[in-house]
Amino acid sequence: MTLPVDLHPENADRRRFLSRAVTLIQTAIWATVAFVMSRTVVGRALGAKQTNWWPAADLADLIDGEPTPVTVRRAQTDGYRQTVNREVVFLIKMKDQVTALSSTCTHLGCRVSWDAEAALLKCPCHGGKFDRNGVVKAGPPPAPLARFPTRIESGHVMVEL
Amino acid sequence: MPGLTGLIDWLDSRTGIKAGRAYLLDEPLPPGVNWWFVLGSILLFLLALQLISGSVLAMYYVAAPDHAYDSVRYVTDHVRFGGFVRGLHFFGASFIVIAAVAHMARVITFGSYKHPREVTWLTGVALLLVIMAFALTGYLLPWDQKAYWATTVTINIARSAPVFGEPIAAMMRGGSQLGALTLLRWYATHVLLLPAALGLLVVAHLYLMRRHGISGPVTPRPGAPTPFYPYHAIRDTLAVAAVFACLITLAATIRVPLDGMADPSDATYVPRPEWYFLSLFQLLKYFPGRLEPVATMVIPGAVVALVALLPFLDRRPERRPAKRRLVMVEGTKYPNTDAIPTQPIRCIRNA
Repeated sequence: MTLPVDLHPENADRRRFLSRAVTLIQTAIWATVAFVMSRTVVGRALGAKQTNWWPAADLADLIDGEPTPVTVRRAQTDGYRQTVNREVVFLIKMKDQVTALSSTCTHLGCRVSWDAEAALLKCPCHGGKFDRNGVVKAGPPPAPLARFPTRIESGHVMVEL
Repeated sequence: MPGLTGLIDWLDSRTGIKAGRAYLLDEPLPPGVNWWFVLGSILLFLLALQLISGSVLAMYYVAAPDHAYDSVRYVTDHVRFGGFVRGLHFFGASFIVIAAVAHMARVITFGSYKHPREVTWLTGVALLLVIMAFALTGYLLPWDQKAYWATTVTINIARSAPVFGEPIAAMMRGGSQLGALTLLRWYATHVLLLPAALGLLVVAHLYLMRRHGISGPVTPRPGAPTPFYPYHAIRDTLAVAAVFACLITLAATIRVPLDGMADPSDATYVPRPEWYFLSLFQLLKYFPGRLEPVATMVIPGAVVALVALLPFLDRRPERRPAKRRLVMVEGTKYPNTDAIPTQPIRCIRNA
């Protein structure tokens, strides 16, 4: 009786060689596909965020020592579109210096607001609390509020976002 | 790697993956299965690649007339490898049509559609129609001049059908004119309905192929059967690698065309269909006026019906091409010997 081709002992080496060749070529093909597709999926998501200076408020409108929420309008590229995003930042004037704090809680991204009585920036979602310098005072936030560079130009506060 | 072996054993005890792998890879193939039998694997690979590249493109595409064109231009020009992936998808569509027709020609030549594989053949014909529907619906998505006007012509062809023409055209348009509703439904069809239909048909086709076994050469050869893996898998793999090399070369060197944005007021644009619809385009010229439905419905419908019914019209067990002159293209020569219907072969277990 004829043995199936595959069961002949002399075919073991050939089978092993062919198996490795199949694995190697298929791996090369699908690795190429995975590389190209993953690079396309990532797109510009991992690229450096582009920043620019945007006018935020008049220096004269800010109250000394009190975080003032201002809405900064900034034009940006959103994929194939040019959009105008509105971002709320807190400006805190201390004498001639102005600090800009993000209004995004570092816990899960909710919007914080200024509680003048408690003198704290409070997050409504999970009870995160920050002082006027953005330092965590209570709750689950793992890090202080983000700070943005500022500069004064002819009495206008500019923020780099 | 003992850890990996342990994990595979654990998975196998819960799922039976080793038996599944053996079932998939140890398919016994009759002696004489050769390079003609790689076309199905090429087609399967191209379909998988099309699914992947299409999914990636969908991450950037916006199916709305105001945004579709810009989103396609963005992925083509500004996303890393975006133009290349679009090239893979664009040229892949043509490759699929070529591979599908070549696969079908092989099946016809070898008489592989005959008893007991009639339903396998029918699922294959349905797959070809789904592939053509993919090509048709994908054509509109870039929302450029070519897309807009070619789709206008397509919808008007549907409208020329007697009795049901207008309702069919209205359903294709979605509204009173070609616009946002049309684009949305063609996109939904392209990315939801057709992939679902394709998936079901591919599974059915592969299941039936395994159930009846590969038809093998026109005449059975003496000798023992061989397992699919690795003896035929290496042919499939090399053929797929060659096709993939051609495809990536095209995608990397030729920029996929993108006309100006769709302009419904442009009276000068002359749309041309993709090469695989050119025969229908030409046919229209021979049947002007009231005879148009003959070119748009009757002849294509008759051809599809004839192809689908082939196993029921040619019911003799004879598989030699020379003895089936009615089916074969005149002048085509193929090796022929004795004709014996292929029988399923018992599965080999590897030692």
